[in-house]
Amino acid sequence: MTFADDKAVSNLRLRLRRMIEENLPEGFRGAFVEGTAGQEAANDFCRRLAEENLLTMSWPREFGGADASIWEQAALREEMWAHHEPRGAQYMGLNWVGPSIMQFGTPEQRAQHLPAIANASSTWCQGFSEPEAGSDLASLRLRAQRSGEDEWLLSGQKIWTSYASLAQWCFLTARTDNSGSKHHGITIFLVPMDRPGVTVRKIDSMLGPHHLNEVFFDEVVASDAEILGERDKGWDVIRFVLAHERIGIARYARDERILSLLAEYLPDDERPESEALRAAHARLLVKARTARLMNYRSIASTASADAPGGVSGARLATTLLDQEVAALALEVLGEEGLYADDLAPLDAWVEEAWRYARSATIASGTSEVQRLLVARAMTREPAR
Amino acid sequence: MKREWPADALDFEASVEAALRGRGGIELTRAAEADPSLRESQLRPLIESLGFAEIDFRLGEIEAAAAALGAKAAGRVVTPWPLVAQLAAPAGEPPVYLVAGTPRRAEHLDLFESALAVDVRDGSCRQLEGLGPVAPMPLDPFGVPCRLGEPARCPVDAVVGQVVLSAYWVLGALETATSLSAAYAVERNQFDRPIASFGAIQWRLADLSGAQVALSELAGFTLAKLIDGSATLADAWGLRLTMIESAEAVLANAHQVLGAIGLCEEHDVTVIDRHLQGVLRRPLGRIETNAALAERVGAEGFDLLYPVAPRATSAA
Repeated sequence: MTFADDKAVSNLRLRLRRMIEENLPEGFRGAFVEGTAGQEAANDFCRRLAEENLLTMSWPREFGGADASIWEQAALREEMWAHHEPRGAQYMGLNWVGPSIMQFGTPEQRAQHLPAIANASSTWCQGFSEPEAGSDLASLRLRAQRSGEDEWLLSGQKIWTSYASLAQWCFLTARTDNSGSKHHGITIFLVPMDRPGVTVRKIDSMLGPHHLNEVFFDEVVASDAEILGERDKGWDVIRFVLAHERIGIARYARDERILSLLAEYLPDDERPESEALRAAHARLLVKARTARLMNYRSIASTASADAPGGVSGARLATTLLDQEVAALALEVLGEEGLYADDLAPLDAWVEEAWRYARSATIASGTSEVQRLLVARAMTREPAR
Repeated sequence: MKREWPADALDFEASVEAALRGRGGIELTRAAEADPSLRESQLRPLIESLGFAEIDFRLGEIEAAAAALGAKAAGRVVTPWPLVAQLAAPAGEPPVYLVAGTPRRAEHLDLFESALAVDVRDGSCRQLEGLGPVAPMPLDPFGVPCRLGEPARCPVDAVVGQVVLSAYWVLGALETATSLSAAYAVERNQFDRPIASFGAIQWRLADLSGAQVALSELAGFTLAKLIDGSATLADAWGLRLTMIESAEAVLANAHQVLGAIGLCEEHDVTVIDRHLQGVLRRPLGRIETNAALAERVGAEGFDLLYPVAPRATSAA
């Protein structure tokens, strides 16, 4: 038994850390900051990853990937997330849009989309949530109506859509049939964002720029050729996406890095409050390690079997950790942790981490939904 | 990463599980509370026949894994035998207990002619002497009054080994509490439907499951470090803290799911709850374990993807 990285994984980590150090500008805080510098740095970094055949390393060789092991893929996610996800919005295309198209797409869809995702020339957004369908995704209402032999008209609204203003493509869920159960009659469309009738409106939020948008579809024309998977059976695709998405973000890696950096700021005197801070920090080191191990358990189980309870349990542990670490970081840094200027410690990372952590238990399925999935798995209620 | 257990260790776990269930499982624990002599008459021959006394976790992966899984199988039915203390000792040597200062009582000390106490505060080791038979108390059913004796030589890795094996014992008990809670939530109807269909109950089941899985994963990780020789005291106290917090979460949520029935003597969760309290409090409770963890992190650092270095002042 060993939980240590094997040689290939530890070599990959070193290589990625070197690339990050050599290629990301000092003070890089991710792609989604005010101005264009973050985006440009992320685009450059993606090109570097593509040159080194690392961008699509998780993909199968037949689709231009490197058949990386599940543990190499995990290491890549960890190193990226721990360094402000320098792939920017591309992680979405790489982690689940591409794999979904491989799994459910036609040869034409694969030929059209996979190379563009692989060389980071296309950006995707996820058109899932609606004003009346958040955690209850299957209640979506965006309507796709037949308008010709192989044409559809898409009408409705999506909300909370990250990166919609940057994206060229939308992975869109639409209602094509209302007659059966709500999980039936959903269809996935791959729609270009510049098609007439698509309007994006940004939503300012505490997360920062580009994270949240509304997207309106006003009789947008789509074709049968743009349907991913089978008509009316989009729920199968959604389940595939959610399993990839929930496992896709290695929040715990960022938390481990923050905790490691935070150790430098811990007081070392014998005051009770100093001892309390050191104890709280030490406790979160263990919780971070445990959350990572729970993710590893989940990753290992997806290699052999579908385990929704495992993914949800790991995600729950990770998102709660995210919030605990952010709260502790503010405690340790005190007033300085609030500030976002050049004088703030840790490149003002802590205030941003705290704001972002607020969304951890909401995005990609709320913690309530994750708990529901865990409980269903425990009581053997079939997942829907 | 190689997460699989050795097949021999899994076979051993299955043998222990079957043997203990064959003797009544938790019923045997209830019976031994009423008549502590059952430990000698029924359990000693069983423990000896299973070969626990020959296992030494220091002898490599298979033995360490067998010790851990054996402890877990015994923990599932809170077997009234000091298996963790026995497994923490080198094969055939007196059982090893962990203490913090001078202990007043220790579990099952009447079953052995001699025992050792390792003080977690300074690593010193002394004889541990029992002062009579079991003196049952509600939260310490097999406690025996004791005192420290002469200094003794400490077995290698006694503290880390004891902590890891204790974690497996507790994990076994928590697995039972978890499965009993989930089964009850499905069977029990209130307001014309199974209580498992209520969000409040689902929330508790999820938290209970998460706590148990957290302990399972961290115990495996720490055991692997113990096997490869890299386990530190910081690793051990981190595991013990998780063990205590997981047990608190599982037991509290299990009781809420089970309601009044879970408090009754006839219910296994009640038995599990009281039999875990000793291992959760001795040698250190949650707050003291957390403090010990912080002290060792300062002295040794902590191994993560981005490791924490030892603090200069503590390491000096």
